[in-house]
Amino acid sequence: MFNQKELKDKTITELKKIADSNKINYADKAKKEDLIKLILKSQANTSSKPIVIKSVKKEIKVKPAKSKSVDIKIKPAKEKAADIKKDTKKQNNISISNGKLPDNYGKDKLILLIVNPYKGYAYWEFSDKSKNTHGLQNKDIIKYLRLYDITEKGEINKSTDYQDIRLNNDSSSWYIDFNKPNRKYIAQIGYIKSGKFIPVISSNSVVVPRDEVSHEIDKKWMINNEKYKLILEASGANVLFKHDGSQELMKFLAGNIEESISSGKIE
Amino acid sequence: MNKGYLCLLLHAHLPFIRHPEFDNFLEEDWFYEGLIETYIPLLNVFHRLYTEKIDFRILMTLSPSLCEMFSDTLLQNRFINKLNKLIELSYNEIERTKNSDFYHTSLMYNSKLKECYDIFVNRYDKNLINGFKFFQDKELINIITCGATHGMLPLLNINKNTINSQIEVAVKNYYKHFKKYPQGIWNSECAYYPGLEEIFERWGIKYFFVDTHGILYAEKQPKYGVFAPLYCDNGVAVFGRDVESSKQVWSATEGYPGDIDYRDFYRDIGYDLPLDYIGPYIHPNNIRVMTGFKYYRITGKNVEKAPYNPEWAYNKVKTHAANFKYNREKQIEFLNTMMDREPIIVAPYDAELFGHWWYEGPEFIYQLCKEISQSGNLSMITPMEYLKKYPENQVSNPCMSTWGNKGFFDVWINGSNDWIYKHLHECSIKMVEMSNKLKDTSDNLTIRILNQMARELLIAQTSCWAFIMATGTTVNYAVKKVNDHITRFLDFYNMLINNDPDVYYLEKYEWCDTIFEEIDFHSYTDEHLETRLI
Repeated sequence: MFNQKELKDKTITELKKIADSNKINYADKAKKEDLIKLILKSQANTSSKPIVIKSVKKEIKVKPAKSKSVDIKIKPAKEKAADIKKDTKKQNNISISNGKLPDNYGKDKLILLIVNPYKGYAYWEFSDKSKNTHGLQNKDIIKYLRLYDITEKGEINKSTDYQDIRLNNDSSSWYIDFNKPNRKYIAQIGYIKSGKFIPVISSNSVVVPRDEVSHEIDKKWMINNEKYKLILEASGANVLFKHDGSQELMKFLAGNIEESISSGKIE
Repeated sequence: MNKGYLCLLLHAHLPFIRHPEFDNFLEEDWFYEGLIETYIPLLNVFHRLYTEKIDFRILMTLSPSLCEMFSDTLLQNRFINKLNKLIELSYNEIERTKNSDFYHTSLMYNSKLKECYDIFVNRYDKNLINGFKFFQDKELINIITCGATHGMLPLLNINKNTINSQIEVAVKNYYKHFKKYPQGIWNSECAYYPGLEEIFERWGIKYFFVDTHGILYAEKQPKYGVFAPLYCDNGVAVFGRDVESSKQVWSATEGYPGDIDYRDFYRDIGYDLPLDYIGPYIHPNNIRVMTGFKYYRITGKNVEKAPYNPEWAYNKVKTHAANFKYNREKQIEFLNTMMDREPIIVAPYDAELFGHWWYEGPEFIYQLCKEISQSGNLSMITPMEYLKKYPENQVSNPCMSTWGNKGFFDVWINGSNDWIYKHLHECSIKMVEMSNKLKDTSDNLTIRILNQMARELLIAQTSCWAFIMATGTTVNYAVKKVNDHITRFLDFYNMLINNDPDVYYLEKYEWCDTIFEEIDFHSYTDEHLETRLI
């Protein structure tokens, strides 16, 4: 048993050790005062005997809050892809004992990723400064994602080749269709003011992969057309993406078990 | 005489899962199952081939995270306990199945488990690295590396530093385990983006792999299709996956592993037998799990499962190995009429397909090596041996690709998992910022925090988490892993920003997340983008 003064004299590390040994639940970033309060409160409830936790190396005790993970992971996982989003949100609340993942990082950021030759994924966030400067909190402002094809021109300013996607007000990510494979794209998000597009954030540029055999022939390594066709065929050019990936095989071998709770093997 | 080569590649990887804070942790079983069913049997196959003086070549990726688990004392000792329990269970099973159709199978499990124990403890001193290193030193297998924690590099490429770190940490970890540097890499998920070869070159890596379309859709038409390597502009070689040999094994409908005589994966006594019998051998609290004791064969679709017959399965393995060899020989005969050089057929598979998923898989590899050793026109080869034979190759940069479903990134970026990238990217940016800012620090505590940040970030980057979220099994665990490691990373970051280190918190996660003891956060600095190892 400690009194308040004794506790005050201790360092935060010592307080955490005391809290742990008494199985007191606290946030990892808890301040000294919080820990003192929690310890005093726990001592007041002396009827509840401290549970001795199995000691581990260097007297580091297992935090009770972490044991929640056992409940989480043994739950039969039956999520279908469509439900996962929802489930993820739920998960965020349950599993993070030491602070939730931030919703955003307070920066101006627009990132463009390639999913396949026809599809990309963009996510973004605005800094408070940008939100204020452009009045983006105003619900009447309609945001657009402008996707530029900069293959020939190399930069946005010169490119007249673009497509606009009208964004939902509260969205922070979007799946984008690329017009053509094997092109270079860059995106901006902004709004229209007096008929003019005002960009607020710009993305990285991406070169989308090709979806066919190149037309460029290497003169030094040329062979006749007939032979080349046969080589391509032997290489599987006509059956690409048609054979099963490892995922399909594993599902098959696992008997398509939905109720399996563990060891869904991974690639 | 015309001939050709097979490069058989087994990619062995598991995400780093190690939970000292629990006595029993369900997902750690993935590792133990892998040891019993794949890694120990594979080493035993190599051992048999070696003692029978059969010449063979197998290329293996051992991912750095898997190497770290192989050499981890906690996991080794837990595995021995697990193995002892299973051996005990196997004796009970012999009693239980006496006078039944399952008796021979239970005898098989008993002898295999005891052999497993002997190999693990006595032959390799609890660390399978010793085994793999032995066969590498004999030049029978060749071990290559892969991204430090199997990061999906094209999707992590928010800055070059992050990619550099995945490779630098991998190469240095390889040195720690194998006392030399790797010459090749199987990039995680066989993923490639143009420019990745720059980082490979800097770390002395001479070759890597892409899926078939990575070669076929190369910048310039590839003269030999996937049957010879290309050079990237910087001289790093790239080999492409062969479709035909891949299909024979991978295809769910036509592939060997789905044969009716092979052991069924699903029916397991962990689920089938009453709790009062099986209770001590499953997860505490009577959570039913796979035990590895499975008594049925695949039998067929929509029919009642029939008992497994080890002898039938063994005979089928021999037939399939001969068939695989025959088809490669035919492929080579045909290619010899097309090409003015000997073709290389690259056949990569997940190592755990052999044994864990396809129970008879390791035996298939044994029989295949034996078959090929007697072939007239087919030999096994490693990429370095092929490059030595054919040093002149076409220069053409490969196309962005992966070996995932549909060939690109659909598996790793979709509605189930896209949310992770925002966090992974931001943490990468923060990691680089802090590494550059504090690169000259001599404060031991600061260095420890930076190193632990690197560990947390690397574990969060494992491509398996996104994969699991997409496949829909054990999703909660994968979500929790990303959440936990990212939040730990951010906590450490804030400690540095606020100059408010919490030693207790640091010690706790240094104790939990022990991967890469040797790690050096400088792998994230701009300076390291200019450094060359060799």
